[in-house]
Amino acid sequence: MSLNFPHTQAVYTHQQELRVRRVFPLETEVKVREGKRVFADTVVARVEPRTVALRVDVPAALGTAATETNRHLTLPTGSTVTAGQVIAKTRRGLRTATVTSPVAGTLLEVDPRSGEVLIAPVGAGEILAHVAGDVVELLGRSELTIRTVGSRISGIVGLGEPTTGPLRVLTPAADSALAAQGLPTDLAGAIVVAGGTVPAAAYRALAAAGIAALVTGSLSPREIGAAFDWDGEDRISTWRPLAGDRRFGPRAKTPYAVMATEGFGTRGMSPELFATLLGWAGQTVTLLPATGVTGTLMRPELILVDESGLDSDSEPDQATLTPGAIVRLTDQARLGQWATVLDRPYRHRFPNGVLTDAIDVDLGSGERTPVRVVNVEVLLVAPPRAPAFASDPS
Amino acid sequence: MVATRANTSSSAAAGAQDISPESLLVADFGRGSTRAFLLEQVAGTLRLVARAEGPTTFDLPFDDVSVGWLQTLRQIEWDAGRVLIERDNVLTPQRQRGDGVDAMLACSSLGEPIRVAVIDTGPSPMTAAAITALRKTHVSILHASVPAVKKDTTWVPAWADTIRAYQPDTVVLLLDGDQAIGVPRAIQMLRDISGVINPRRGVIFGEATVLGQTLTLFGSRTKVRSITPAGKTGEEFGAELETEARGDWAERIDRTDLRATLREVTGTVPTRAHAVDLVTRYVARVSGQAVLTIGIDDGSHAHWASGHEAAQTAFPRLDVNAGIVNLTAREIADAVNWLPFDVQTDDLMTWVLNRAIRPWAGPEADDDVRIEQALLRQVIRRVAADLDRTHPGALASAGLVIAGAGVDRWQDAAIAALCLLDGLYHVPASGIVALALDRDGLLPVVGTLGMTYPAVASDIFGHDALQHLGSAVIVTGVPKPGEVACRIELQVQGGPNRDLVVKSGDLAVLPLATGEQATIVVRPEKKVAVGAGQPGKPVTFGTERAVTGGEVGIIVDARGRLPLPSPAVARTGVVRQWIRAAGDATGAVRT
Repeated sequence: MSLNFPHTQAVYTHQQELRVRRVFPLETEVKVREGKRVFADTVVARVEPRTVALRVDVPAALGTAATETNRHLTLPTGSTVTAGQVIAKTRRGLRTATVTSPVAGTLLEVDPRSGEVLIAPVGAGEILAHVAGDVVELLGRSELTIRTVGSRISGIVGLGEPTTGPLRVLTPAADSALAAQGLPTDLAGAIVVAGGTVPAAAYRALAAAGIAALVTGSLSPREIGAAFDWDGEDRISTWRPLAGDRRFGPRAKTPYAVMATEGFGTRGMSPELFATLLGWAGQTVTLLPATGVTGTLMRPELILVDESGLDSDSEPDQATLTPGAIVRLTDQARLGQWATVLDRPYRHRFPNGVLTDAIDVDLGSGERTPVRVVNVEVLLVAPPRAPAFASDPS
Repeated sequence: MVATRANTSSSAAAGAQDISPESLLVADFGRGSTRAFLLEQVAGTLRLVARAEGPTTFDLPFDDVSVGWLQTLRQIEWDAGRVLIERDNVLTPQRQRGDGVDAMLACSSLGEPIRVAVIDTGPSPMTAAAITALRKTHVSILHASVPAVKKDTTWVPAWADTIRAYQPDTVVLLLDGDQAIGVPRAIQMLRDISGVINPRRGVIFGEATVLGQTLTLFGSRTKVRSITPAGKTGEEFGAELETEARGDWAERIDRTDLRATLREVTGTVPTRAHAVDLVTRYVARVSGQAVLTIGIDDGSHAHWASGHEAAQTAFPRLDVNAGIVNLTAREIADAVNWLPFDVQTDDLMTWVLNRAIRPWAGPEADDDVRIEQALLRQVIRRVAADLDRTHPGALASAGLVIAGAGVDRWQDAAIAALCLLDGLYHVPASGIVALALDRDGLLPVVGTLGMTYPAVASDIFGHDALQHLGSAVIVTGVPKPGEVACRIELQVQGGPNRDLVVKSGDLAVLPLATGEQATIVVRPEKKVAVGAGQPGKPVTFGTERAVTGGEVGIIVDARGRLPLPSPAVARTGVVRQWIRAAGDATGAVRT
């Protein structure tokens, strides 16, 4: 197993009982009880709509003072609005300047300080289960665990909001770069897989295509930053957790959810994970992208639920560093490299003088190589319990 | 303060015991790693006999601190050859056959720090008292001070946004400063965000006439306490804040598993940073010199003490693990200055992000080790700069610099010394600074012991705590690279004299082993000064206070300060020379 994941299972688990932990914003009210069976579209929690409302800068659009916004509204607060409906207007010489609502929803209020208008989109504040299963644990007002059955690939970093959609694989191989041109025209709502590098233009093209999520090998900070205009004076600040916010990269706003399986950089997805995703193509999967390292440990998860197996009893495999387990190396020089565990952990002094827990692995050459235990992640438990990759999840 | 079997007050003296136990177990629970130390009577005094370290399992995937703690204890049992655990509990008191320990103590920095926003209305002794007291606990502090200038339309909205994003657990509002401008502005700012922050606690300090305006600043969930200045000293006010912050933190981490793990603990459980602060003050007192300690482990903290004065700075979210992402892009880009090879800024950014998302991974390749060392220097620089800002002159006055275990993560004394010199980047006024390493991470242990067993703490510090690296002589105003900067005469007691000519831009090391003492005469060239001394004036070290050796020896730093040479090929060559020069002394040359 590895300290890098919030569960004690392998990175890839096939057709097993899964515990899916959902952590919500602090001002959330959980709407389900322990023992309740939920489905992907079940509302499991609600947040105060103000915290998720869009802010429309009416003073800037009309050229009016912040304190005057109420005078220019065309609807009272609390009104239902449609996308494109005029919500504020003012006379500018002979013409009338207007501001429209960018989304359908409810006009909540005017921020008295900035004069901005808050509009809660339809359904704003409703948090869906996204995976079918049974609620097995409630922790306070903002956390619950759902027991489900299916297969899961844990990512290492994710962005955006949870989403569900059909899986589409866009690159021919795990290390193929995704071209911005020539994308299929029917990607709206899909969770797409691009194994290799994704250039800025491709990130933007995927947004234009209306995808729900992207699953890729690695995130290039420069490319994704350029795609979504994050590059400020302090480029690292996009990724810096905010005090009071458990998420990694809270300022990294993307128009769709994103999950990287390997990390940051230009490294392609591991071929075996890519092959597994090829096997999932066409099926409906759920991406829960929440990532947090400080405080509560959270990793993104791509889940293929098997609803027919929800009532079956099955003990999940525990990932252990036993001989035969397939692991991934995580020291930066060999990040993403696969290996097979040859022996149990032991104390070892490395050539640089560091004495620490080590494990012998085979990097594919047949040779025994010691690596630090903290630098391995169990991808697949030792046979015979683990199936081959890319097997049919049904 | 975490609940323990025999809690005492936070006063160090209150729990002090005169009886020296036969054996002690001290736990140091950090957010990333847990350390256990076994102390045993050896020839009449308690000494460190075994130490073990393992991952902290307070958070997921284990969510149970006892898993890692018991694993660490088993490692100590194996090393020491005695049984310490019985039915998953620490065996106390020590049994006749030698198993168990007489007592267990602990320090802890588990859990998220309490976020405290301190807002003042101008210079006030209460601000200093509040911040000093809060830093003894596990808090991160956001300090906003209302500017006294009349026309300032940006302060209120800017700080309202900052505090809204910070989401403080506690707001401390100090309204005893400028009444005409400061008070209304501070109240206005808090009023603007009253609906969007939900602090658990609000503490308002000010005259009764002002307090009336603050009644509606917080929502119903906030426990508000108003204090008037009458009869309240800064120390009393600080002590109240400290108690409240400790209580909030204890409540945050209060879990069944932690209560069970700490069941056998006696005395107060201080934070790691507070324990180190106590030791720093102690060392400054007994050694009669200004002492600076730097800890970069789970977060970063620096402590300075001289006589009865002390200062502290803490960045609970800045380190080279998950907190590495709290370095700025500029600081990361500048880390290239400490690398003996060229690397693109984008690649460094990627390295940092990969470390931040897998903070438990360790570097194995030499280049990765060098990058980690370079970034550690940048973290030290941030911490040192903050201490210098809040307490001007503290760095320059330090005669002894002690680095915590995090600086020795590569178990390389020469690199630890180099990281300290590069990271601190200050010029000691005297021209010389002694360097030491807390290799086993004993400073928090000594601080914790000092609260209950002061005599034991003194013994452990005296015998086991520090590895001396040596001393660094720093010359300034160096001429062009390659020209002579100074001449050194090292007169070793009971040994031969050694002479050395040090050129500008060089880092030179003269061997002086641990336990050896020497006198050093430094003869600088005309425009070169030793420390803050006069240019060209020779200085002799070792006449009043002996210059002692260490694992590295005597370092003569004639590198000057920024800028480093460019282009990259020249810079990397120079850095390689520095690393080689430092490593030559210890035989650990890996460039």
